[in-house]
Amino acid sequence: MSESSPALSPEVDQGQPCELRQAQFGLFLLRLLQADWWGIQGYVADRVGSAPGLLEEAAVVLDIDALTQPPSPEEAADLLDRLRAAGLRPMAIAADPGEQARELARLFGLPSVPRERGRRRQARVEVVAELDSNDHVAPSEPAVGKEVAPAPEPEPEAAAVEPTSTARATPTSSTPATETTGPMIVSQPVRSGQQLYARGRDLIVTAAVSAGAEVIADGNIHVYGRLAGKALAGARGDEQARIYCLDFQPELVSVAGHYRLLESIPESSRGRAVQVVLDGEKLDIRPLNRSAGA
Amino acid sequence: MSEVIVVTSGKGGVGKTTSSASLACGFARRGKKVAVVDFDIGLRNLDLIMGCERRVVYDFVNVINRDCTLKQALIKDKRFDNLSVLAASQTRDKDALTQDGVERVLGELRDDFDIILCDSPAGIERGAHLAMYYADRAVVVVNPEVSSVRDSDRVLGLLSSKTQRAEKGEGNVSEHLLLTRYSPERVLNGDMMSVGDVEEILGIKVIGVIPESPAVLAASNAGVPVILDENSEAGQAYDDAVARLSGEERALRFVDARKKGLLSRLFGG
Repeated sequence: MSESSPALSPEVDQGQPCELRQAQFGLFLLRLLQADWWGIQGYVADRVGSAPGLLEEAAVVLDIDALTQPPSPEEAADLLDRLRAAGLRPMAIAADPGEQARELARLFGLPSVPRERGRRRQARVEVVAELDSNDHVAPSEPAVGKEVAPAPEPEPEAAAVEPTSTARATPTSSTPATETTGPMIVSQPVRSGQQLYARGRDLIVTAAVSAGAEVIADGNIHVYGRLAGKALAGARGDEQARIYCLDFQPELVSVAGHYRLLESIPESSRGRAVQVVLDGEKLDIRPLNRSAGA
Repeated sequence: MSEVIVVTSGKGGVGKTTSSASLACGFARRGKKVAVVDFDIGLRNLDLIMGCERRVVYDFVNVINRDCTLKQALIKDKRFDNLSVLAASQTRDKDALTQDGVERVLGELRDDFDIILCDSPAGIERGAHLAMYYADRAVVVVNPEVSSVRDSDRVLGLLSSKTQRAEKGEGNVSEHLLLTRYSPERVLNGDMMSVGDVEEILGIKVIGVIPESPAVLAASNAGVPVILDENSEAGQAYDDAVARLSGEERALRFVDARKKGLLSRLFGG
């Protein structure tokens, strides 16, 4: 449904002062879990500090559904100040369409976006991916394929993330996530504990991705060595993104937040050349055949 | 041209100190001027394996704190004139190591020695980080079992990113894999990962395979690095590793299970 549109559509004529069309951007979702404004600021500042390239000045949508009661107008204003101070840019408030949405929009002075849609399309900040402590990024529910997993927010480990200087992704915060640049190409092995994030583009790894390593891309992921770690394509919600791999034995694969764990991956596809495709709600693992097209 | 070589692994108990001691003696036996430095502050072991524990007066932390000169702290090996040990402090912890201090001490050692071996503590925290930070080469010690292999994978990742060479873009730290506690018989029975398995997972070739051997424990207890026990397979395997690290080509030995002869089969060899 979301074809990546060209930077300028052909219909735009030279004299036209601007262009208005529907577009989709990858946004972060900040789900507030406790009315601890100070704690929220600290947490967010921490996260932004640990991944400035990714999160600094990042546009976020707030979801306050989990709070027991909505903040007062003073608290709402205070919260927005705190988030801005911590480095995020609150853009909108997630709400079910209707009176509630209008109320929240008034309260925060921000536009509202429908929640249901957001749930699938946005990466959530609240999911903490702490690779160093070997915590699992994906939620532990045994749900398979169908379950919508929150796409973990990549937390690049400054230098470890980019093993070679040629692979250095230079994410500029002004680049919209939907605008694809050339792929990020990595020719050194991605080792346990390392995380690679190709922001707004495809990721090509010509070496192995070890168990305990993580490769993430807003676009497609290609792994030409063994994929034994985690691969998350379409990290900002692109459901067309795919994962291609020549030796498939991942811990987890995910496309636009729909994930499958190794144990739910059929034995028959392990160690094979496959592509991972999101087909509706289902994450499909299809063999890559040299002769027949997939 | 001096070289700093870190002996590291991530996981503990895989044989870093044993390997550091043997590699140090091996290089010294080949005529290199060698210093071996114990980075495991608080858990001083290298001096025991090297058999110089009674001669430790000053240690690494004393040198960093300028309580003494480097010369005063270096312990000359009794077997090799050209081999010195810098012991760790047993009473301090890893925080006693400062980046500046480590840089200064390694710089001074570079002036006087051909090879500086850094015996890293386990883990990936401060001590291990500083032990690898200034390295030109790394010997990653790995046991043929899954947790050791994964930890080594992690360490290889750190070597390619969290070292001075990586940070300054001065080329990669050369990585060498040393497989220790290898038991060809158990590999044959399928209860141990093979050399090939480990090489495949880590994506690099081994520089040496040290067979599991009672000689290693005996040597450690005696304070004589096992490489000096020329009758032991482990000692010979370490000598091969030193030769390969020095650029020689040597075929791998002790990686195949010995075929049992009739007698040993009858009497249980």
